[in-house]
Amino acid sequence: MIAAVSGPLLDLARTLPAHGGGASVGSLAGHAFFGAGFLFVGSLLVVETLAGPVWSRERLRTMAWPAALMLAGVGMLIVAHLQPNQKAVHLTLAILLLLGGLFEARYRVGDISRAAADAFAIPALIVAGIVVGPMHANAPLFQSAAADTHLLVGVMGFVLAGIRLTQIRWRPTAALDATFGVGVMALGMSLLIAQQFHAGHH
Amino acid sequence: MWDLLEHAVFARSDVGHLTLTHILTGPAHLMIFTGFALCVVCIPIALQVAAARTDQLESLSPNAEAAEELQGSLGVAEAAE
Repeated sequence: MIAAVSGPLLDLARTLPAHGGGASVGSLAGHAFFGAGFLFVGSLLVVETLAGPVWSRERLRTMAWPAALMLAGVGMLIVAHLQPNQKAVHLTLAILLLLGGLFEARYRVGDISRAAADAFAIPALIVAGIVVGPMHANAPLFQSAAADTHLLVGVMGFVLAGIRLTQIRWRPTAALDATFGVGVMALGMSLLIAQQFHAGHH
Repeated sequence: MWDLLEHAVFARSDVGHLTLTHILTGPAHLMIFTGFALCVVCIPIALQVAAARTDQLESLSPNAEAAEELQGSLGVAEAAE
């Protein structure tokens, strides 16, 4: 039944002409998917903080954050495979995301402490910020929308590292946990902005 | 709002040129999809929180438990001194 309904709908959608002379495909579309993913999982982190123990009643929900990081890592591996250039940058990000997911998973099952997870997360976020910002988008400031928006994404990495450092400096609180979630949402938004304002996309 | 601005103000002439790719990858559309997905996940959570007893909602942060443990062990150490 689904196939019977979706088939004509997809055929109808395919008949629609191109929008703006070229839609976002290939590597650029990746920014939007990663952005939406981080926006979604960041929202879930905020909900996790607000829901408290109710959230952790189900293991699936508890492991949502590390699973999302690992999924993003696999996605970045696919990007590194498909995109002909910047392979080292994407591979670095993929490894950081996969390891980050592993550390967060081990923290959430109780194998390691928050401090041990942060010992990886904070340097990883700083490195990711440098890789996404200055290394990935190496153009003078305010000369290229793509470079500027990538720098914004990089800055969000530094902001998230700062929030984690604040959690270490002062005791972890629900407010700081929620702030980290909002930071992840902002990272997602910055990726969506990178997609929206990239040259050639309308 | 973002999508309305794009299609109703910034790119009015392009409304008739929408493609499936644009619909699936446009940031504004993905934000809307994300919002729908979030509603699907969060409405049951909200109902569970509403139905929970007060004692089931005491710890608001997964990290707060670790902090309480840390504070507890520090308190024990201070008492031993």
